[in-house]
Amino acid sequence: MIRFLSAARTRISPPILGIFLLAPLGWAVARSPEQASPPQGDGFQVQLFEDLPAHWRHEWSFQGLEPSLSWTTPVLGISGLPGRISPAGMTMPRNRPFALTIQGDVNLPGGSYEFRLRSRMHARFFVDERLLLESAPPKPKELTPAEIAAKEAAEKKARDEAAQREAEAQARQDLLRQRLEDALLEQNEETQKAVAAELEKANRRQKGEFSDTQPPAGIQELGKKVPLESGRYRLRIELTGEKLDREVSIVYRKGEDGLRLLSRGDPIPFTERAWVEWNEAESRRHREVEEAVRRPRLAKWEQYWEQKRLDQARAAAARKPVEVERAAGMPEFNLIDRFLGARMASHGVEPAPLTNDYEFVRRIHVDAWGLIPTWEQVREFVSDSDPDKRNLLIDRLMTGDGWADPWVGYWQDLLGENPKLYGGVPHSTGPFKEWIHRSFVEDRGYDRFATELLLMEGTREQLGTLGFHQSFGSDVPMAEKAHVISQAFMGATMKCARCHDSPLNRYRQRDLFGIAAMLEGEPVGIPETSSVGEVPGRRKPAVPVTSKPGDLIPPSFVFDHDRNLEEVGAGVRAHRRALADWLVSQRRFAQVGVNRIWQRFMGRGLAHSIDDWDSPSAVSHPGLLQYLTDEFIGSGYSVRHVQELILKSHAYQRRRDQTLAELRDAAGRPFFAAPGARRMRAEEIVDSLHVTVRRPFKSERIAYQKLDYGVPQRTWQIVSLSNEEDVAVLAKPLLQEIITLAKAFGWRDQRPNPVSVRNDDPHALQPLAMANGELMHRLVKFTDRSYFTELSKRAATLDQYGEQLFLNTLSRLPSDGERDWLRNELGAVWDRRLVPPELRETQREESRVREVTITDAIAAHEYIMQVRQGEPAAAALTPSFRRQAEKVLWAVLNSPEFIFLP
Amino acid sequence: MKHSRSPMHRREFLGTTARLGAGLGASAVAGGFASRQATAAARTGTDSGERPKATADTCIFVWLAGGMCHLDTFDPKLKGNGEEIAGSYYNPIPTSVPGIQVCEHLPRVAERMDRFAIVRSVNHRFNEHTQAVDFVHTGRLASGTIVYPSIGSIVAHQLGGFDPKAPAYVVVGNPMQPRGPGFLGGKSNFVYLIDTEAGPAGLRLPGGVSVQEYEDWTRTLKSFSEPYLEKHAETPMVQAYASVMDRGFEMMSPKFQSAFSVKEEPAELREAYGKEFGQRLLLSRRLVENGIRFVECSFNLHFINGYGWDAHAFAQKRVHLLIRQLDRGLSVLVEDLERRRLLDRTLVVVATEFGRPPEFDGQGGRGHQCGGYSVVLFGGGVRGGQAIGATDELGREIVERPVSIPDLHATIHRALGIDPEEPLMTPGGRPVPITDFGRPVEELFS
Repeated sequence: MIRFLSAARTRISPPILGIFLLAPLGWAVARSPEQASPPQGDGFQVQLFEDLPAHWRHEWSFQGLEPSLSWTTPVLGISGLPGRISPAGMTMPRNRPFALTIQGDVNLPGGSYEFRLRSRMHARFFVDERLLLESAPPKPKELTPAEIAAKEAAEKKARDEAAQREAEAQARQDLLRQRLEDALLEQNEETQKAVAAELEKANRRQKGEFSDTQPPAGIQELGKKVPLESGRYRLRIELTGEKLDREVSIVYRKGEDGLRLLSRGDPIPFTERAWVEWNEAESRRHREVEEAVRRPRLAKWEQYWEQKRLDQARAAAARKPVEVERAAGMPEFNLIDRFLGARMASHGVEPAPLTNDYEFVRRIHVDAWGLIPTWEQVREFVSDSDPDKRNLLIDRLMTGDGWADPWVGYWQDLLGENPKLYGGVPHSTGPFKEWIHRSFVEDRGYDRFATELLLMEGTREQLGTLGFHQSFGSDVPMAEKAHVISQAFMGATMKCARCHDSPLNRYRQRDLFGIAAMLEGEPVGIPETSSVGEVPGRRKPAVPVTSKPGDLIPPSFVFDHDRNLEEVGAGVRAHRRALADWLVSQRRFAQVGVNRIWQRFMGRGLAHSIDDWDSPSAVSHPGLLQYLTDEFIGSGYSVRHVQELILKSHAYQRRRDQTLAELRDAAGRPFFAAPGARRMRAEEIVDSLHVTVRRPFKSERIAYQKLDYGVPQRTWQIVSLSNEEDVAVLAKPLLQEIITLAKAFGWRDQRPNPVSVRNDDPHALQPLAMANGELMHRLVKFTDRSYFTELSKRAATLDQYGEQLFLNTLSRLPSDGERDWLRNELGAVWDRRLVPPELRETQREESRVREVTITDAIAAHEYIMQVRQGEPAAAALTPSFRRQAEKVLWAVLNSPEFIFLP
Repeated sequence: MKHSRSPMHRREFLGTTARLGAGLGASAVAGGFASRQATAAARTGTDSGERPKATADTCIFVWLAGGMCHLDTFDPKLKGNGEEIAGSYYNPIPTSVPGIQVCEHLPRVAERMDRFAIVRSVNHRFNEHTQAVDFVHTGRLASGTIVYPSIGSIVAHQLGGFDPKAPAYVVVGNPMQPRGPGFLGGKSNFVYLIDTEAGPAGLRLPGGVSVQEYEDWTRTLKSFSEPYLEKHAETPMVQAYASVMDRGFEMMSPKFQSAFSVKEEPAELREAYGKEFGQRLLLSRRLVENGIRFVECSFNLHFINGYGWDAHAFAQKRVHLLIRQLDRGLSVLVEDLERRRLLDRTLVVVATEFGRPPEFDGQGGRGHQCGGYSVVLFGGGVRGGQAIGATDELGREIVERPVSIPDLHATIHRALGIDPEEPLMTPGGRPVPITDFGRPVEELFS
């Protein structure tokens, strides 16, 4: 057993790995003869065949087929396949029909053998070309996530128990051996015999009992006994199916021995642990096989974009800049102000004055990082005497990774990133938030962002966009993606066209399906469900319909019907790539992007309707849009660059003024003379509340089965639970506190459709969720971990306490009136706030975050009760002070000022 | 409101309703809920006068999470044996209404059958939990362009709280998405309690803070916020938030704190209602009594038999424990409502995501069956003592009067005086009728 484990590890040591790495990978066809022949190591050779001819399934003929991938494995069996690697270096699932062989020569001593084939797929096992066993093809059955989970939990429990029994038996044998040795030393023959007999019995029992592990649910096991003479045998498994998601293996038993895995080296007992170890070693091997192919491809992809950036910069240098005259008397920090100033001057509009330092530092931190500043950050900025300190602060914020965080929530909404923890719900997608985050952290460029999204490649671990591909339960997922892409990147609203021609704009249903077909790489049919059904005797559809269910819509560039589709080439990827290349080459693509960035910081787009670019007259400042679009393209589609220009403008840094913000010229165009009111977004509220008390998120790990999103530290990392079965074991009470608050303020736990601007209408459940939510209760409480407990101990005077309280929550100092208010509320208890150390009561321990297993309903219930208890109050503070101080903190955090930005 | 047929008319229509919507939004902020409040007696059909009168003011929507087996409860059939012989798992018993039988574990309901109506022909197409739960709550196939509101949110949106100061919609159970407001937005969302001991999320006092202290807290918040609100008197967004704050904190009044506490009920009555599920029904009754319009009360107590109503495998053998709790809870509720003269204005619907097939699986449990199952209704104008629709001899398929989920929704709306065809407006200005061609089951009310 132990020997096997170490042997398994040595088998993936460098020399053998070398074989894997040199082995032909991917779908390249050319390979040299020696690579195709069985390797010299002690492994079995695995060959994977894809793109099988239609008649293949009945014939099992490998004649003339070229393997698309081959590698070796130490055991006659397989537990998974290495992923397919795209030209952009991203892993793709191999979800197409395939056939596979595993074969090798093995020396077997003579005797009676029983071979068992474990498989959930259609598989055959040969000994020297003699078909010994054949399993039936699987019957399709869809299990619900809960059923799968229950099954897996049961399997895991069985495995754990078996491993435990194994360990106990091993310990017993060790003990017996020790006693045998003792008996030998003592030369006590009687004991020797007795112990030896017992040991023999234990050995037999272990083989008999512990080797016969039950096959996992859904796996067939077939067995056959054959007598074999001593000699060298060629063993082979052949299998075929749609996808490989469960192991296929051969185990055997010789005579009365226990079951073993078939290896070319020493026999390996077939135990649960050996099995698990082998499985894990196999997936490590597959990851390494993938990595070797992935790295050079990814590098090439990066190079492509670097070259593109150089070309874009060169083109920008050659471009004639847009010109605009500076209007006298208008404030100007950069060119943005010149464009805005010209219009204001001609209409006699006076822009609002600049924000003061306190207002600015709060606004910029929330806009740039999605977090209010800490009191140190406020103090540092306000006391800085550098005249250029605003620009320096913007530079600092924009070069930190934090600038990416607010963009993640924005794009999750817009791209409909809609992953679920407990399996799919209608229209859920896979996760790709980490890809969004990474794209912004590295400022990879908006064109690359769109391209990678359209390609839909790469797993979550690789920061890929494969998750975008999914739309759970949808019969035309690509039609939904077409809707998202058109709206997000082209400003073309095709929502209506999903089911019928649009009554609001020029898009017909076939336009949307034309894009869907581009994404699918082939014509897409309009299903019954994507149409406006006519029920006899009921009202007729009130919308125009020119396509009907069953119509097959070919790929098309839609926005550019003249474009030649013949150049595109065949295949899904070629079509997606062609669509992406065309998309990012459009000036409209850049304009829509610029307008989105502008809207996020200025509250209103240069074109008011940011999702609808089909009304060209709507751009309020065409020159400014042209200038920013040139800057965007010239900087290599750097969102950071355009964002920086905006943040550094006087226009952005002006004081809010609702009247000025709503001022329009005769044509209805805004001046951007002042920003209007802005309430923090849900993510900003939740994240900032944690800043005020300086605590990380307290949440359960967001993990289930193979999905693991970790413990969230920012609201964008949260994944909705989709606890549709309404069960306590799936509830995560701490996470739920965060979700409840975020949701009240507009965070969407369900994002099937693209949204650019959330509905911010206030409703009564918002202040309630905030003021009385479990999260607020938790954060407001002065516990041993609360920053305010710290501050209460440290602050020398109440005034000092009050200053830091205000700086840390509202990013400003208290007014005179507020200082009075603080003295009123806390003055009487301030001097009696501390409990002398000798009088402090021992508090119960803080409740810990716990993970509850899916099968343990009682533990889940207990845990919920425990979380509800809350955390113990700090023993160092007197209850009278603590209660007053908690009330004050609560009042400040719940005041409208906290959520409305200056 | 009729749908125009040509696109041009439709645009005009969109324009007018959008403006109308904006007006409503503004008035809602300034206490518009009060103006929408109406009692069953006052609310008479539409201007056309065609629609029947409302028969109920409030609704308790009991949710049997996991899928209650109709064969083992309200639609008993030939008995199976838990193994290879398909059929009901329990014996049928007669009820006080001749011709209607229920399972042997529902004796109290059987005795009071004259108050209950069973619809034995509810059906849809989703045999998988998440989709079925979504469909039964929204009455629509989830779409990729919009999130549809739940029945509770629609009722909340249309009618507001029965008491204008009360939250309109409360969930006793987990705050899952299909129970949510969808495109109607957060104002039509629910207030939820995980269980009767939890207190309502968002309406719970901080730990250890008494009602009196909390009043001091809110006073402090108000006085602290005043200078800021004065300074921003001209900013509508800030003022609108301030007014929803006022409205929100009204819900924190001692009256509503007490509405959420079953502990204030007499011990005898609490005892009568039984365990947690019964306590939830009791709480639901308190809530509708205190002005909450729609309560969804979840029976999701899985620890009773391991799987809850989702009786796969071994769970089937103990599912009678759930049925007995249901029997006790419903029979006490119906009499409690009667005694308080609330039964006539409170519609109670006992629903679930699907039924279960007559066959037993290898371990003696049952799978899912969406093609025909039972829902029970009582109170709120529903005539008891009837069974509507029927399934075949093994309860597999509907043989009489199929009732779709939109029909079930239309029935609930009809009882509450809501026009099931009235269009709701999405934020994008798309009209979505309240139900998807649902037609009320009129027999229930005759």
